[in-house]
Amino acid sequence: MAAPKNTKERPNAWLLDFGQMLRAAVGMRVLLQIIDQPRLHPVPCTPAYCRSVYSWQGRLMPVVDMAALLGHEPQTPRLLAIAGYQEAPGEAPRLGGLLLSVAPMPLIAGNDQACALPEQSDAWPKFAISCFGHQGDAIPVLHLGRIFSRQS
Amino acid sequence: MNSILITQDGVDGATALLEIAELRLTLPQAEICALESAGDIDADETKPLSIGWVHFRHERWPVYCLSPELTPLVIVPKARRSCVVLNTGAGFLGILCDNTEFGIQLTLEQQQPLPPAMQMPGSPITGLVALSQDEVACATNAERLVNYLTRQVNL
Repeated sequence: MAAPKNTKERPNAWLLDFGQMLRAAVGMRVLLQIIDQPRLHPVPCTPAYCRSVYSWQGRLMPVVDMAALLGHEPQTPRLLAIAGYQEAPGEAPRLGGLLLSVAPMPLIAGNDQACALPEQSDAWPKFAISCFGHQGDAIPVLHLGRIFSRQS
Repeated sequence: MNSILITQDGVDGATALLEIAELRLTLPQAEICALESAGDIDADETKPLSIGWVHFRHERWPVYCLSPELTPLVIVPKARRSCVVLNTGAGFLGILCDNTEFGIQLTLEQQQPLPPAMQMPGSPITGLVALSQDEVACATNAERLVNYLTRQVNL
Protein backbone atom coordinates (compact mmCIF):
# COMPACT_ATOMS: atom_id res chain seq x y z
CA MET A 1 0.00 0.00 0.00
CA ALA A 2 1.34 3.43 -0.89
CA ALA A 3 2.32 5.61 2.03
CA PRO A 4 0.22 8.72 2.60
CA LYS A 5 1.76 11.85 1.08
CA ASN A 6 2.74 13.57 4.31
CA THR A 7 4.14 10.76 6.46
CA LYS A 8 7.76 11.79 5.82
CA GLU A 9 7.16 15.48 6.44
CA ARG A 10 8.18 16.72 9.86
CA PRO A 11 6.02 19.08 11.88
CA ASN A 12 7.13 22.67 11.31
CA ALA A 13 4.82 24.53 13.69
CA TRP A 14 3.21 24.36 17.10
CA LEU A 15 -0.51 24.83 17.47
CA LEU A 16 -1.21 26.93 20.57
CA ASP A 17 -4.58 26.95 22.30
CA PHE A 18 -5.49 29.96 24.43
CA GLY A 19 -8.97 28.69 25.29
CA GLN A 20 -12.26 30.29 24.23
CA MET A 21 -11.73 28.89 20.70
CA LEU A 22 -8.66 31.10 20.29
CA ARG A 23 -5.79 29.31 18.61
CA ALA A 24 -2.63 30.34 16.82
CA ALA A 25 0.67 28.89 15.68
CA VAL A 26 4.35 29.58 16.02
CA GLY A 27 7.36 28.04 14.30
CA MET A 28 8.78 24.78 15.62
CA ARG A 29 11.95 26.40 16.99
CA VAL A 30 10.13 29.19 18.80
CA LEU A 31 8.98 27.18 21.81
CA LEU A 32 11.76 26.41 24.27
CA GLN A 33 9.85 24.80 27.13
CA ILE A 34 6.38 24.20 28.48
CA ILE A 35 5.91 24.81 32.20
CA ASP A 36 3.05 23.14 34.06
CA GLN A 37 1.47 25.22 36.82
CA PRO A 38 4.00 28.06 36.48
CA ARG A 39 4.78 30.25 39.47
CA LEU A 40 4.03 33.69 38.11
CA HIS A 41 5.03 36.92 39.80
CA PRO A 42 2.35 39.61 39.51
CA VAL A 43 3.45 43.12 38.61
CA PRO A 44 1.06 45.94 39.58
CA CYS A 45 -0.16 48.66 37.24
CA THR A 46 0.25 46.55 34.11
CA PRO A 47 -2.17 45.88 31.20
CA ALA A 48 -4.73 43.09 31.66
CA TYR A 49 -2.99 41.01 28.99
CA CYS A 50 0.44 41.10 30.65
CA ARG A 51 0.13 41.17 34.42
CA SER A 52 2.99 38.93 35.51
CA VAL A 53 6.55 37.81 34.88
CA TYR A 54 8.15 34.39 35.02
CA SER A 55 11.67 33.64 36.19
CA TRP A 56 13.35 31.19 33.81
CA GLN A 57 17.00 30.27 34.05
CA GLY A 58 17.78 33.50 35.86
CA ARG A 59 15.93 35.69 33.36
CA LEU A 60 12.65 37.47 33.96
CA MET A 61 10.23 37.45 31.07
CA PRO A 62 6.81 39.02 30.52
CA VAL A 63 3.89 36.60 30.41
CA VAL A 64 1.23 37.46 27.84
CA ASP A 65 -2.35 36.24 27.98
CA MET A 66 -3.35 36.15 24.30
CA ALA A 67 -7.02 35.71 25.17
CA ALA A 68 -7.01 38.98 27.11
CA LEU A 69 -4.93 40.67 24.42
CA LEU A 70 -7.57 39.70 21.85
CA GLY A 71 -10.34 41.16 24.01
CA HIS A 72 -11.60 37.92 25.54
CA GLU A 73 -11.76 36.74 29.17
CA PRO A 74 -8.36 36.40 30.87
CA GLN A 75 -7.04 32.84 31.13
CA THR A 76 -6.40 30.94 34.33
CA PRO A 77 -2.66 30.22 34.25
CA ARG A 78 -2.23 26.45 33.83
CA LEU A 79 0.47 26.07 31.23
CA LEU A 80 3.16 28.48 30.18
CA ALA A 81 5.01 28.30 26.89
CA ILE A 82 8.48 29.85 26.95
CA ALA A 83 9.08 31.41 23.55
CA GLY A 84 12.26 32.82 22.02
CA TYR A 85 12.12 35.41 19.26
CA GLN A 86 14.17 38.10 17.56
CA GLU A 87 13.08 41.66 16.90
CA ALA A 88 15.35 41.76 13.85
CA PRO A 89 17.64 39.28 12.09
CA GLY A 90 20.99 38.98 13.85
CA GLU A 91 19.67 40.47 17.07
CA ALA A 92 20.07 38.63 20.37
CA PRO A 93 17.08 36.39 21.09
CA ARG A 94 14.47 37.65 23.51
CA LEU A 95 12.19 35.61 25.73
CA GLY A 96 8.51 35.81 26.46
CA GLY A 97 5.88 33.60 28.02
CA LEU A 98 2.47 32.72 26.56
CA LEU A 99 -0.32 31.30 28.71
CA LEU A 100 -1.90 28.17 27.21
CA SER A 101 -5.02 26.24 28.11
CA VAL A 102 -3.71 22.90 26.79
CA ALA A 103 -0.34 21.55 25.71
CA PRO A 104 0.76 22.67 22.23
CA MET A 105 0.29 20.29 19.31
CA PRO A 106 2.86 19.82 16.54
CA LEU A 107 1.53 20.21 13.02
CA ILE A 108 2.56 20.64 9.42
CA ALA A 109 1.69 23.89 7.70
CA GLY A 110 2.53 24.91 4.14
CA ASN A 111 2.10 27.91 1.87
CA ASP A 112 -0.68 26.11 0.03
CA GLN A 113 -2.78 26.35 3.20
CA ALA A 114 -2.70 30.18 3.39
CA CYS A 115 -6.05 31.75 4.21
CA ALA A 116 -7.63 34.89 5.70
CA LEU A 117 -7.36 35.66 9.42
CA PRO A 118 -10.25 34.52 11.62
CA GLU A 119 -12.94 37.09 12.30
CA GLN A 120 -13.33 36.28 16.01
CA SER A 121 -11.14 39.26 16.99
CA ASP A 122 -10.41 42.55 15.24
CA ALA A 123 -6.99 42.47 16.88
CA TRP A 124 -5.59 39.51 14.93
CA PRO A 125 -4.08 41.65 12.13
CA LYS A 126 -1.95 43.43 14.72
CA PHE A 127 -0.41 40.27 16.10
CA ALA A 128 -0.30 37.81 13.18
CA ILE A 129 2.08 37.69 10.25
CA SER A 130 0.08 35.17 8.25
CA CYS A 131 -2.63 32.57 8.56
CA PHE A 132 -3.26 29.03 7.36
CA GLY A 133 -6.15 26.63 7.29
CA HIS A 134 -6.03 23.60 9.58
CA GLN A 135 -8.85 21.08 9.93
CA GLY A 136 -11.36 23.66 8.80
CA ASP A 137 -10.13 26.46 11.07
CA ALA A 138 -8.07 29.54 10.25
CA ILE A 139 -4.90 29.51 12.39
CA PRO A 140 -3.01 32.81 12.66
CA VAL A 141 0.78 32.68 12.87
CA LEU A 142 1.93 34.89 15.75
CA HIS A 143 4.30 37.82 15.35
CA LEU A 144 5.96 37.61 18.77
CA GLY A 145 7.89 40.85 18.36
CA ARG A 146 4.64 42.78 18.01
CA ILE A 147 3.11 40.96 20.97
CA PHE A 148 5.94 41.34 23.47
CA SER A 149 7.09 44.78 22.37
CA ARG A 150 3.62 46.27 22.38
CA GLN A 151 3.05 49.26 24.64
CA SER A 152 -0.35 50.30 25.97
CA MET B 1 7.28 57.46 69.26
CA ASN B 2 9.25 54.64 67.53
CA SER B 3 11.05 56.59 64.84
CA ILE B 4 14.27 55.45 63.17
CA LEU B 5 16.13 57.92 61.02
CA ILE B 6 17.66 56.24 58.01
CA THR B 7 21.25 57.34 57.67
CA GLN B 8 22.29 58.65 54.29
CA ASP B 9 25.95 57.83 54.90
CA GLY B 10 27.33 55.20 52.60
CA VAL B 11 24.00 54.45 50.92
CA ASP B 12 25.24 55.32 47.43
CA GLY B 13 23.55 52.85 45.15
CA ALA B 14 21.98 50.97 48.06
CA THR B 15 18.44 49.75 47.63
CA ALA B 16 15.62 49.48 50.12
CA LEU B 17 13.10 46.67 49.89
CA LEU B 18 9.52 47.20 51.02
CA GLU B 19 7.16 44.25 51.51
CA ILE B 20 3.49 45.02 50.94
CA ALA B 21 1.73 41.67 51.31
CA GLU B 22 3.07 39.57 48.41
CA LEU B 23 4.45 42.61 46.58
CA ARG B 24 8.17 43.35 46.85
CA LEU B 25 9.01 46.93 45.99
CA THR B 26 12.52 48.33 45.67
CA LEU B 27 13.45 52.01 45.94
CA PRO B 28 16.74 53.87 46.07
CA GLN B 29 17.55 53.88 49.78
CA ALA B 30 18.64 57.50 49.57
CA GLU B 31 14.98 58.46 49.05
CA ILE B 32 13.91 57.00 52.40
CA CYS B 33 14.39 59.33 55.34
CA ALA B 34 12.85 57.51 58.29
CA LEU B 35 11.07 54.41 59.44
CA GLU B 36 8.14 54.88 61.80
CA SER B 37 5.88 52.49 63.59
CA ALA B 38 2.42 52.24 62.02
CA GLY B 39 1.05 52.63 65.55
CA ASP B 40 2.32 56.21 65.63
CA ILE B 41 0.29 57.33 62.62
CA ASP B 42 -2.02 60.22 63.45
CA ALA B 43 -5.42 59.33 61.97
CA ASP B 44 -7.10 62.74 62.45
CA GLU B 45 -8.60 64.55 59.44
CA THR B 46 -7.02 62.42 56.76
CA LYS B 47 -6.44 63.60 53.20
CA PRO B 48 -8.38 61.80 50.44
CA LEU B 49 -7.21 58.18 50.11
CA SER B 50 -4.61 58.64 52.86
CA ILE B 51 -4.97 56.83 56.19
CA GLY B 52 -3.37 59.47 58.40
CA TRP B 53 -0.31 61.57 59.04
CA VAL B 54 3.28 60.92 59.98
CA HIS B 55 5.19 63.53 61.99
CA PHE B 56 8.61 64.25 60.56
CA ARG B 57 10.83 67.31 60.82
CA HIS B 58 8.25 69.23 62.87
CA GLU B 59 5.52 68.86 60.27
CA ARG B 60 2.96 66.23 59.40
CA TRP B 61 2.88 64.41 56.07
CA PRO B 62 0.20 62.17 54.54
CA VAL B 63 0.50 58.40 54.87
CA TYR B 64 -0.85 55.96 52.29
CA CYS B 65 -1.66 52.30 52.67
CA LEU B 66 -1.42 50.41 49.40
CA SER B 67 -2.60 47.00 48.27
CA PRO B 68 -0.21 44.64 46.42
CA GLU B 69 -1.81 46.06 43.25
CA LEU B 70 -0.85 49.54 44.52
CA THR B 71 -4.46 50.58 44.99
CA PRO B 72 -4.83 52.98 47.94
CA LEU B 73 -6.62 51.27 50.84
CA VAL B 74 -8.60 53.07 53.51
CA ILE B 75 -8.72 50.09 55.88
CA VAL B 76 -5.25 49.16 57.07
CA PRO B 77 -4.39 45.42 57.11
CA LYS B 78 -2.87 44.28 60.41
CA ALA B 79 0.34 43.23 58.70
CA ARG B 80 1.24 46.84 57.80
CA ARG B 81 3.40 47.43 60.85
CA SER B 82 5.82 50.07 59.65
CA CYS B 83 5.79 53.31 57.72
CA VAL B 84 8.63 54.49 55.53
CA VAL B 85 8.96 58.23 55.11
CA LEU B 86 9.91 59.13 51.54
CA ASN B 87 11.54 62.34 50.43
CA THR B 88 9.47 63.56 47.49
CA GLY B 89 11.67 66.55 46.77
CA ALA B 90 8.83 68.91 47.61
CA GLY B 91 8.17 67.34 51.01
CA PHE B 92 7.63 63.90 52.47
CA LEU B 93 5.04 61.16 52.48
CA GLY B 94 4.57 57.90 54.31
CA ILE B 95 3.94 54.46 52.83
CA LEU B 96 2.83 51.63 55.09
CA CYS B 97 4.48 48.27 54.61
CA ASP B 98 4.70 44.88 56.31
CA ASN B 99 8.49 44.66 56.44
CA THR B 100 11.47 46.63 55.24
CA GLU B 101 15.05 45.77 54.43
CA PHE B 102 17.84 48.27 53.90
CA GLY B 103 21.34 48.28 52.49
CA ILE B 104 20.72 45.88 49.62
CA GLN B 105 23.35 46.03 46.89
CA LEU B 106 21.88 44.89 43.58
CA THR B 107 24.01 43.79 40.67
CA LEU B 108 23.26 44.96 37.14
CA GLU B 109 22.34 41.37 36.24
CA GLN B 110 19.57 41.43 38.84
CA GLN B 111 17.92 44.51 37.35
CA GLN B 112 16.08 45.01 34.09
CA PRO B 113 13.71 47.63 32.72
CA LEU B 114 10.02 46.89 32.66
CA PRO B 115 9.28 44.97 29.41
CA PRO B 116 7.43 47.11 26.84
CA ALA B 117 4.34 44.88 27.00
CA MET B 118 3.99 45.66 30.72
CA GLN B 119 4.32 49.42 30.50
CA MET B 120 1.33 51.63 31.26
CA PRO B 121 1.17 55.43 31.26
CA GLY B 122 1.45 56.72 34.81
CA SER B 123 2.64 53.44 36.29
CA PRO B 124 5.04 53.84 39.21
CA ILE B 125 6.88 50.65 38.25
CA THR B 126 10.13 51.32 36.42
CA GLY B 127 11.70 47.88 36.30
CA LEU B 128 12.05 44.35 37.60
CA VAL B 129 14.53 42.94 40.07
CA ALA B 130 15.44 39.28 40.42
CA LEU B 131 16.07 39.07 44.17
CA SER B 132 16.72 35.34 43.91
CA GLN B 133 15.72 32.46 41.67
CA ASP B 134 12.16 32.55 43.03
CA GLU B 135 11.81 36.08 44.33
CA VAL B 136 10.98 39.02 42.11
CA ALA B 137 10.62 42.65 43.10
CA CYS B 138 9.27 45.65 41.24
CA ALA B 139 11.46 48.73 41.09
CA THR B 140 10.06 52.20 41.67
CA ASN B 141 11.22 55.54 43.03
CA ALA B 142 9.76 58.34 45.14
CA GLU B 143 9.02 60.63 42.20
CA ARG B 144 7.08 57.96 40.30
CA LEU B 145 5.19 56.95 43.46
CA VAL B 146 4.21 60.54 44.24
CA ASN B 147 3.01 61.16 40.68
CA TYR B 148 1.04 57.91 40.77
CA LEU B 149 -0.57 58.69 44.14
CA THR B 150 -1.38 62.25 43.06
CA ARG B 151 -3.16 60.85 40.02
CA GLN B 152 -5.08 58.34 42.16
CA VAL B 153 -6.22 61.05 44.55
CA ASN B 154 -7.38 63.27 41.68
CA LEU B 155 -9.32 60.54 39.89
